[in-house]
Amino acid sequence: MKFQVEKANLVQVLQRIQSATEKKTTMPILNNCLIKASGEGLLEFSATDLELSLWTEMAAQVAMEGKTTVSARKLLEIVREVPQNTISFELDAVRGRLLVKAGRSRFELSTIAAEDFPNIDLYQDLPLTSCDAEVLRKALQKTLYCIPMEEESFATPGLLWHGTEDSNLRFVSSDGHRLSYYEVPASAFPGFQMPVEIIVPRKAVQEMHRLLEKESEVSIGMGEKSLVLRTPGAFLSTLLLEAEFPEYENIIPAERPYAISVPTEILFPALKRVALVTDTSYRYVKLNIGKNSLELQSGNPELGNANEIIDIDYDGADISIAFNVKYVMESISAMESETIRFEWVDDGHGGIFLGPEDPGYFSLIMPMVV
Amino acid sequence: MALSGIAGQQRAIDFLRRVLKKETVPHAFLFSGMQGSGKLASALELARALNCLSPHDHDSCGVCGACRKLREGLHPDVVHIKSDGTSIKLDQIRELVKRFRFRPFEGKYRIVIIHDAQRMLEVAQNALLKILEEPPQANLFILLAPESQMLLSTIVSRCCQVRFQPLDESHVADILVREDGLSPESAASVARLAEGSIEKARWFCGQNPEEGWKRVIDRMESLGEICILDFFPMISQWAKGCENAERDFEFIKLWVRDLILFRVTEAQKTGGACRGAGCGLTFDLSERSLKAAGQVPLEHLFILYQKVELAMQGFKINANLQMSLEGLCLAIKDFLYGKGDWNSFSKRGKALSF
Repeated sequence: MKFQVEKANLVQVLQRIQSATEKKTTMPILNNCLIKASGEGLLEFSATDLELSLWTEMAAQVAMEGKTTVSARKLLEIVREVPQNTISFELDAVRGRLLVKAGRSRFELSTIAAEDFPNIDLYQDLPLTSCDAEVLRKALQKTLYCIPMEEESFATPGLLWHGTEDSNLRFVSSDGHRLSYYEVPASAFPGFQMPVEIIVPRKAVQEMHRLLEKESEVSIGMGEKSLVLRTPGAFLSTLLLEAEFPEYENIIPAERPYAISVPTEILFPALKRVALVTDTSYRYVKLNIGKNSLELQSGNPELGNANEIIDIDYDGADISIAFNVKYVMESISAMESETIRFEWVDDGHGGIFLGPEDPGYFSLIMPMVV
Repeated sequence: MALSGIAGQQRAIDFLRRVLKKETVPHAFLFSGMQGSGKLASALELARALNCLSPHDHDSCGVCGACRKLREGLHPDVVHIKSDGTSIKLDQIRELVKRFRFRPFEGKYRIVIIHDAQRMLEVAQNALLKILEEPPQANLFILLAPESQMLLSTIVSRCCQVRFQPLDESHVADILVREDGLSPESAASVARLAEGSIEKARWFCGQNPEEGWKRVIDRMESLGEICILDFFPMISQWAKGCENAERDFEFIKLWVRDLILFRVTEAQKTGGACRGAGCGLTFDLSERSLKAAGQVPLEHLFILYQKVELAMQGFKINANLQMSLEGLCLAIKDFLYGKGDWNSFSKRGKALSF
């Protein structure tokens, strides 16, 4: 194998695949990335951590075809530090070394044979259907914040995708304290065949979101145990979580007798202000709602307290209900709406935050006892 | 090699092959048997047979990509859990459980091999129990342990147990010749020491067994004559200059075993005509110790064997070497050669320095 590449392109590609390389050393080959040079001037890079696999390609001047694996992190560090714009690579197959040459610097990296790399080509022949990248990106962005980092008893560390009765596609995430979902018409994913429901792991959701930020042309496909996303220059495949998502619909109150609407540009800065006196142990914001007024109240015995009154249009029973201020702010930031609609039943049920101008979005936050 | 190539464990292998043939693979196996009886080799072969891309007769082909990766320990769906320090910790099991959120990456089965499963801490065993109770699809656990009693009974009851017998001497010798390149003669003599464990046989190979054996047995035989005044300096010297106490204890054990064997076989009646390797004895024994063994009650020899085992166990948990040897050698002097030899002074009337 022998080829020459532009430094800037290579850095970009190597950065992209870093997230799929394993950081732990249980299987040394997972720290490596697979490099494949083919005769048509194409260079392919793949990496996997056995959960998420990434494949990208770039143009290069290939003098000799071949493939091998080297440490992905070291290769990126080297390429980044090299001042020259063109870097040449050559595989010494006999000694199992990859020679990296740029100007007068020369590196010899140890390699592991490409045949030993986990077989990640196997998802590439799945039928793919094109989908609306923007819709998918929004769906992921609006639900990502609710996916828990770790598995807990009532929380699955993944994003649930499922079809609804009115043939929409719903993306649901919940960490056991709050829940959010985003519903899109299934027509945004024409021809996408999905079983009853799938759960996409958190890391994959993050990576898909990152990939979608830069691309507009995306196709998606699904196998028995994996989900794949393909953009013109990259290919992402993730294994699906084999878990059961809690029956989240049971906690959403069907009838919410009370509701208020507040302009986002008033509510959000006000929340930000009262949040200044909260910390990790005192993190509530209390919404005291009375006739035509909403009082935000927060406090911390060590720092002091804060309150702010907002005029609203309301003529119902008085209520006082507290939420984690961070949750409320995150939920509001995910919305693209000029007004926020807050609906509730009583202080024992979850409060619902909706954006009337962002119809697919729904968020529920469980109240706190203060 | 394939599953059918595992030597000396016919029953266990037949059972595993039957399981493969009927395609009724349980979610967990417990392979129990002494170290070096082929548990790990069988577990790896089973993993290969299950994940082989082109199996024939329900066994691995040995040449496909999956077989090659498995042989080189690179298969992403074979997970090895080994003790971290002296035990297998809770975090290791928790980390493992996380992997079960996903299906196997490229194989049909994900195979988790837990080496020395008896080293799992109780909390770790309980964490494992959770996943054994609700086994996810397409996963197979293989626990390796010397004895099933060493694990929580709740774990054992959820595994399909397969017992591995100690290997025959001939199988150990065959493996040593085939895989370690020993000559048939030395392989046979090492195999005799190994008590059916290929691991132990390999350990002995690196220990220069003949010479060590001679040194230890000389000491054992001198116990009959040595006076107490000389006894303690001798043991002290032994303990100080000892390069490999574990091996020395092994030799003492084998020596006592040989005496017992000699005592109970016909050889004793025919006046010691049959001796040495021919009748199952490890090495040639001297007339003196054979005579002593022939005269003491058989129970004494069994008590000695037990004492050697106790001393070995004590040594493994850091008992003082010199004191262990002293206790053991005094017991040998007592039970084998009789109290008559508890003389303080040398029989030869050596001039004493006081």
